[in-house]
Amino acid sequence: MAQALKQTRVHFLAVAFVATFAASATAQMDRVYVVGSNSASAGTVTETSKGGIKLKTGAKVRDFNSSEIRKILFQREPTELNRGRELAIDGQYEQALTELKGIDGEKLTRDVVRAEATYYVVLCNAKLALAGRGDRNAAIAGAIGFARNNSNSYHFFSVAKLLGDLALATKAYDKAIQYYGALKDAPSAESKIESRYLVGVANLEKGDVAQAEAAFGDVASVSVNSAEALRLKVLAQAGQAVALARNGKGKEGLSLVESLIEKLNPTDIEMSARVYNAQGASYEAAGDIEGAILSYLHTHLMFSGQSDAHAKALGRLVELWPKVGRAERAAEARQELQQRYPGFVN
Amino acid sequence: MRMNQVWTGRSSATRMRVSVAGFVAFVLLTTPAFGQGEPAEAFVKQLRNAGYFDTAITYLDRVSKFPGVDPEFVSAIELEKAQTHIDAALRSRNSNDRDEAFTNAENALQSFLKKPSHPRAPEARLQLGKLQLFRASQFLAGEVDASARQSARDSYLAASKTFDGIVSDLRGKLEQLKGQSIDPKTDPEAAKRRDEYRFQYLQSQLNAADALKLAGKTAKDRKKDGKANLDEASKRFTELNKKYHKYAEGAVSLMHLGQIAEWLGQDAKAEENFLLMLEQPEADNLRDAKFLAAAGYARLKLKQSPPKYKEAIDRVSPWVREIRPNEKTAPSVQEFRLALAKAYLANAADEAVKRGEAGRATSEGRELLQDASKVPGSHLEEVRTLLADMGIDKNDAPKLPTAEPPKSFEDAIERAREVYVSTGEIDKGLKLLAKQDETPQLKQQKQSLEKQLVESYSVGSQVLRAGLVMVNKETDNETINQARFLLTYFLYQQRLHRDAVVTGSFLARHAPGAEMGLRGGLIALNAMQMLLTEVPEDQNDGLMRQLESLGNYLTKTWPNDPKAAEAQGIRIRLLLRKDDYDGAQALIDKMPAGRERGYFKRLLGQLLWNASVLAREAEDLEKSDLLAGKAIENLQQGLDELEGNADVEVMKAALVLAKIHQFQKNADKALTVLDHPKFGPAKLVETLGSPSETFTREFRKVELKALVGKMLKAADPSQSLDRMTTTMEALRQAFQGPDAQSELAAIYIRLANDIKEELELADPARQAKLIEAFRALLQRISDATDDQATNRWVGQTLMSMGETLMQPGQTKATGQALDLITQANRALQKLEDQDDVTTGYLVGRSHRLIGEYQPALNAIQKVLTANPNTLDAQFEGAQTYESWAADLKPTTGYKAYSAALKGGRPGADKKNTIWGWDAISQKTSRNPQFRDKFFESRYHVAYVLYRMGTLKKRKSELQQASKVINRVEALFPEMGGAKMKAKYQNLLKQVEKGLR
Repeated sequence: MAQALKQTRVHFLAVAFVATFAASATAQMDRVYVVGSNSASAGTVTETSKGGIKLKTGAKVRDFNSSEIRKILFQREPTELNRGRELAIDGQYEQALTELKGIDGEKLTRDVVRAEATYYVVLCNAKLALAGRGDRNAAIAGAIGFARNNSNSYHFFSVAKLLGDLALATKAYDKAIQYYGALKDAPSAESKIESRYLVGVANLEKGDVAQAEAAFGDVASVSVNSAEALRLKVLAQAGQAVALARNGKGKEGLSLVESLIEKLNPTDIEMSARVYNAQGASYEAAGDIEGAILSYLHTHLMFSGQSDAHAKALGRLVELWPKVGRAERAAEARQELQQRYPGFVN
Repeated sequence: MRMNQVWTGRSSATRMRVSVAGFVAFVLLTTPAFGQGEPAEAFVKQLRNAGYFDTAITYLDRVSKFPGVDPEFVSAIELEKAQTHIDAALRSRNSNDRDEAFTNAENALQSFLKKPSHPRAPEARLQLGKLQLFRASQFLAGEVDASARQSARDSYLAASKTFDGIVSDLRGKLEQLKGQSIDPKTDPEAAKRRDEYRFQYLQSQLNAADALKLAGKTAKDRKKDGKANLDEASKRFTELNKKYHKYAEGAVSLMHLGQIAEWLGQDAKAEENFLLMLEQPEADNLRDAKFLAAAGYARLKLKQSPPKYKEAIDRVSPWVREIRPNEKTAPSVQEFRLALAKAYLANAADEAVKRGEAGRATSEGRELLQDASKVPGSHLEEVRTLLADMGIDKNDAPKLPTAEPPKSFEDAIERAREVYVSTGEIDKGLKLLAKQDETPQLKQQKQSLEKQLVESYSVGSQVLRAGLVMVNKETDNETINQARFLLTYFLYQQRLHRDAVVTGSFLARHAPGAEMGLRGGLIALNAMQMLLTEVPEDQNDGLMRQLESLGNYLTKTWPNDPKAAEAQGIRIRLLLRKDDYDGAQALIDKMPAGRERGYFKRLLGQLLWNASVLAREAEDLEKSDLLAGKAIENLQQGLDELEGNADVEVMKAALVLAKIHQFQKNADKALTVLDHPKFGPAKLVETLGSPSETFTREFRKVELKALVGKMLKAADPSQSLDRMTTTMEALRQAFQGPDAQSELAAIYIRLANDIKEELELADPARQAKLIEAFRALLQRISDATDDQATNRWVGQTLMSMGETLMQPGQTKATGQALDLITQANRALQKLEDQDDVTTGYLVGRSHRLIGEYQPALNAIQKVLTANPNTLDAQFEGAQTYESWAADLKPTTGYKAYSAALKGGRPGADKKNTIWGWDAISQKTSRNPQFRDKFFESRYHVAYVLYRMGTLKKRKSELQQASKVINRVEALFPEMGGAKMKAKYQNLLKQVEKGLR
């Protein structure tokens, strides 16, 4: 009977067995996805650096630049990492963290996979902290720790940018300028341009309008014409408009912003939010409070997905509504600001 | 006052419903698509949605100067302004503001229509017509004098003219289109436009006639002063009905004709039209008119002498049951309720009827009137009078107070109480609506109620804040505390948690021992809890301390109050959130017995079970068992402490308890919990319904497993058959959807394994009993369903049972085993997925076990052609040849043994799809993972060689067999374990005997 039972038990395992038998013949495969494509290149990641990775497929080795990599799925990576990564990419940072916390570190045998798991934890903590839903100092410490221990990670420059964002949020402007400045060493031309643009943003926040203008001017005059570079150029022009407003040149700022709005694609949330905030600042500088309210309302009512710009617009509305006799709307704006961006209020 | 009350205030319900729908459609038609430049349309829409109407008008005043605005939008600014004013009017709670907004809207529309050729001019005309209709109805609101009548009539006539203009415009367009042959397949846009024109054309004709009818209705003496307009309207409705009786507009005309005839005193004609209306086919867009026709019919019947109330009741009362949730507040329904209620009251007043019938009629009438009294509208006055005549005062119908500053503290508290009552009513309404299936109308209704709720809470807190400032020395302390409580409550409802914490804590500490103090404190605690979810963990220390301090204060100050236990509850929740089960247990044990403690025991029990599962996954079995024991204890006590009726939470807790018992193989205990009369899910799921699909699945899974467990242990296993069959069906029903089949299959496989293990341990007598019981069950299940997963389970389980009855070494089934496996084979062959590797394998194996070798090889070959590496199937193929060989005559038997050894059934590549024992043993020898398979296959190599040598009486094969065994022994002295070694040694003895 025991023999018979043994036999019967075996057949329930038949399907599982097929998988095992087949897997033993398969080599280890990592899958690299690049920006703008849904198909992956398969092979083995043999080397990583700040600038990117090397993927070996058969006898061929292909280089991938860090700024073109959308994601890498590593062979036999834990399911939690896979799910956590997808959630993080999707902006669901709290759920992503829950998944990532379930990873058993002991089982991560490859350095590159360990770095990958750590990076996504750093990313989620930083994003939550930036949204006012997490500890900023802890997020900064995590990101610095990552950069220190993984200086050859292809995520290195992403982390540098996160550090810049966190420094900006904590009003550590010089640090922000330093971190954003580090992006100039990233491999792509667009990253170098972005570095300059972000340095401009940080200078503007710091109140160093001259440095900000210089940085935005550099970006606005670059000759790279990729879609991303063109986008950064428009963002820099919006920055220039704010700088003009800060210098009391509201009308000049307005004229610049209007030229941007004319070509604006309202489905680009970040761009639209920044351009309308720039318009608001320009109107304020020109003394047109109604106009400024209308501009900030564009960001508030239509482009609230860009949280930092939205928080800024709400902050301005809190100040401006009472000036047109609408204190109750200022209270509404304040309440929304407190509820959605508690960190911003702090 | 809510705005839809204004829209439905004084005029024809049909028209008003059309109007509101019209405005909605209008907004949709103008929804912009994003393009480049300033997104003006979208922004204006957002401003309107946010209620920033003044800002929207400011923006529209400036928008033409902005860069990148669509010129088409700029050309329709007046139309956008009109829409903004209309929206503002609809949201306004102040009648003067509302009037002003409507006037502005009308002016804007008139101004826009100065450009008659604008592509959006038809929309504007339609809008203007509806607005004029509405404006007319406004003149008739409140006290109506001759001048108001005249203004209303003028506005109705202006509306009629506007609609006539639309009709004339559209007639021209439709005639133009008539000449073109539009094919919807090749030119869908043109076809769609034509259909829109047709719809608007009919709608405008109806509206024009309706406006004329209403103009006639404004006359004090309708038969004299209103006759001209009413006759003209009647002519138009007759024409509409004649030409378009197949369309809603034509059919609805019957109701209008009935009303006109009624007003002109032509009762017979009116009755005929109302009846014709009621006889129209069932269609959603005719329902409103049917309610009005039913009301008209009832009125006419009551007008007769003596009143024919019975005919009225018989003909129209069935419509009461037909009222849909979204129709309950429709003005047409209120008119219907009122008319039918009067018929019932007439019935009750008839001295000739028996007392019982009169009582029933009074009750029906009262119910209708009470339902109507809950809905605002022009019917209210008459409804309240009738209710008052019945001794019911309904003047306290919920009203929403405005946020005007209170005159005094007393005024403030009075108005706050009103808000409290009215919000309670709204909340109840929302709960009722939440139980109904979602429809666009229902959604809109819910949104409107939710908005009212928010506004009311805001008004309540504003009023109280202003009122509390006016407190003086004479003000009664208790009332002040009541005001503070209401303020805390309103703030909490508005999610102003910090504010609610402040006011609630203040109240608790300033009113120790008082009911209001405790209630305020509890709200403050809840608000703190809400704040904890918002504030990051690293910043919530202060809040945690406050919460603990207030919680302690409440439990100490109101030690014997069960509500104060709620404070403890919040602290327990926080401990549970941190997985501090011991801390939570200590607090729970200190709580007084009762509802609250029961709840927390159940909650803790469930969390402990989760922790036990995690410990088991982490392979800490000792901890897992300990936690499971505590879970059982808490759950059982929590369920035993249940007071009153069980709810969904209780049902879920009971299921978890049953699950733990089932997991611990205590099937009887699991079933006792499931079937418990007070908290068992088996009964509760019938009364409460299942809370979710997951719950149903889990419940049925546990129930089935427990039943199988019970059946396996029962003296008479057949006793559970009926329930098992029902449960299997319920389980199958619970698993629907894309992954359901595989999930169901996984459950079945686990069950099959349980059954098999139990059979293995049973003595022969019990084994026979169990097999008979399961066989009967499987037959029932198989007969009852075509479900694939279920049938696969049936096949597998029958086969498992059959194989259990076979003796070790027996390769062909006999007796009861043969019956069972034959039944399994037939069930498996019925499965649709014959290409599936597992199905193919099972079919092949079952054929082999009942001696059907040819079909067995066919099935296995099919599997291996698609999946050559399936080792189990390779084993099965070789075993089939081997078993077959034993059944054949020596000559053919030798060939079959040879195939068992060397393989058979060559594929397209000429290679054998069935490898045979030799190739299997070689392939498995290379991988330590398959060492067991190697020893087994190598044994068969030797065995088959031995059989071949014996059949042919040739020593060469026997020598080879001996060599194989000796070589295995040399390389692996253990020979795959004691059992396998014994087999090899036995075989070697026989081989050596043959060699002698």
